[in-house]
Amino acid sequence: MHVNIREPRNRVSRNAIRVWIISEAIQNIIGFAVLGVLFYLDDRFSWKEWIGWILIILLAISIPAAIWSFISPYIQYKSWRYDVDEEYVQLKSGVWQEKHLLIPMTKIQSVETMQGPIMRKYGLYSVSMGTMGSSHVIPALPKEEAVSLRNKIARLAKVKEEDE
Amino acid sequence: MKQARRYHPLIILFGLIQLLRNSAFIALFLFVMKAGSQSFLIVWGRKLFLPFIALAALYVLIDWLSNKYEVDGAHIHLSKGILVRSKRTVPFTKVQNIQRHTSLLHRLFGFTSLTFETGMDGSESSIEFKVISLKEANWLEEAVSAKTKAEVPEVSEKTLHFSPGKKDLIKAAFTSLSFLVLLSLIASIYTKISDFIDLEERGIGFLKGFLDSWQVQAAAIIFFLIISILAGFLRTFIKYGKYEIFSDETRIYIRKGFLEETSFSISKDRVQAIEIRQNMMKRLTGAAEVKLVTAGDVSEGDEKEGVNSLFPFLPVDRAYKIAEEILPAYEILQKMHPLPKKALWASLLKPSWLWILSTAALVYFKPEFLGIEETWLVGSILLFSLIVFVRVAGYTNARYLINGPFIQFKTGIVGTRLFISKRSKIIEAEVTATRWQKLFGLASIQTVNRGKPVQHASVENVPADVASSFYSWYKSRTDEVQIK
Repeated sequence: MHVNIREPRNRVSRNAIRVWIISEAIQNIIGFAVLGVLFYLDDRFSWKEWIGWILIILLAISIPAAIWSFISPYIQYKSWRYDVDEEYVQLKSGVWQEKHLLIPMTKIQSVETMQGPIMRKYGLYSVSMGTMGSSHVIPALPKEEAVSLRNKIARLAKVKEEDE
Repeated sequence: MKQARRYHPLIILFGLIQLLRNSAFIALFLFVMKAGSQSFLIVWGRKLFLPFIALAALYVLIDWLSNKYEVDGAHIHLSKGILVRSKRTVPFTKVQNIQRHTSLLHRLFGFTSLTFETGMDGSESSIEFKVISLKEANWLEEAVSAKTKAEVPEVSEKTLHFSPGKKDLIKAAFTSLSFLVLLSLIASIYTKISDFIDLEERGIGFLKGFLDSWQVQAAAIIFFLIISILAGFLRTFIKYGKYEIFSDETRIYIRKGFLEETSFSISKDRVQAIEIRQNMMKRLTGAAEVKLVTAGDVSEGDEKEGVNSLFPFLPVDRAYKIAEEILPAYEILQKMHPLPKKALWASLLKPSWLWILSTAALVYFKPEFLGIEETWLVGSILLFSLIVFVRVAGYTNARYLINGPFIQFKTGIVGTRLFISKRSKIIEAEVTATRWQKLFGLASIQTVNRGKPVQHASVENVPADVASSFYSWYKSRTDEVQIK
């Protein structure tokens, strides 16, 4: 018996996988570089023994994590779904944890599109929505889709409920 | 419509008194305690002190001169600043709740302070009238609250729902462990004084000799106990003695305080949710605290209980009744669904990283406590038992219920929190299922409500089909929501 919620229909851009892999790769390179420096310092200044152990544990965790970071974007891409209609924004995501989110259009306060340097290379935008409580992001949509989605949400979110 | 005007000139006096109060300690430090000091900082501090006070006093005056407010039929306009002038307009409809605080000083002059909370982000979320005459405060409150009501109000009588009797107050005094107050007060005074004087040598040494005989000791202890209990009662009576919960057709009013009076009022349709909390003491004595969750700020200085709290020591049954009385639009059921058995297994069998890592660290370091070699084993077992206790208690206390347009979540380990909200007030709903939960056919449900801070309420490990129906339940909120 599983959670039985109809999945939203729209997917994010397939190029998202590449964007995520590139950014994960950059993070991994930085991470391993820091770890390398620490190992060098540990050896050079002969730090306490337990520090060495912690570094080894960190390395042991980092290697599978690095490998995983090349696989997870595919699963993440597969798991991401969104839907925007006149009444609700529905988001579904999550690799380890399946997450379904339902936000009424009337509760959305702001919407914006954003683009980082890697996303720019692929012409992708993310759309971020703010409610009174928090903000939620649909990552990596092609430019036209992102802009039209942003405008659509902005138009629909103008409606306010009676008691606000 | 009223002309743009300054705040009442009495605000200058209040400002000056506050300035004196804040600088008194610095003055004491500079001129009395360090009177003989020739250190560079102290000498200059003394020279600069008076000019600084003069400047600050001048600022209080200029502040009064440069701040103005204006009220028209539907807005409050505020303007301030000398060099940089700013104007702010707040429509009455954005006011979430209204607070009044009357300090002793206010009472002396027959004035009060009035705050309108808008519940927006940022530092300018409220409009505060620090010193305002009772007449004008009443007029303003009337004007603003009439506009925030959904319908045009008929003149309706206020009904008193609760005011604590002697029995309630005695119970409150015990439940809040108020007799410990004196102890903590003495401890704090002791540490403060001992910063300057060596008490150990002067006072306590003398007392030690005095307390040698056991009769004197016993008498001293009994005397101290009586004083503590009296002090506790006194504090409880001052704090909760004059507590009143009123409501009329459209608004709820909470008034409290014996010496300093605080009152709070909110339109019924602005109540975002109801929260019923019990800590361990309250669970033992069958008391509960009911809070109205509002979008506006409700903190009251450094007090732990906000002004939105109905009497914090209500008997449980009464708490539910009063909540329903003042909010007829709410239905609260005490009987809720417990979590399924498999939720207990899911929670108990889940590997605890905290325990695994701690045990690994303990095994590696093998620390010794009191010379016992097996400290690591004891520590690991203790942590394990604690984790099991937390998980079992979390399972036992958890309850949920979806009842028409209402949802109730109850969670907690030692204390409990029951959160009741309406579908139309919930601003986000979320269903999550981890892979571990999926193995057991479980999921977690979460709601988000407006509030300061934003209110998240959730129950973990409900059956998966409950989670699905929760999702579709929230999706049908459009049936009952009115759109402007």
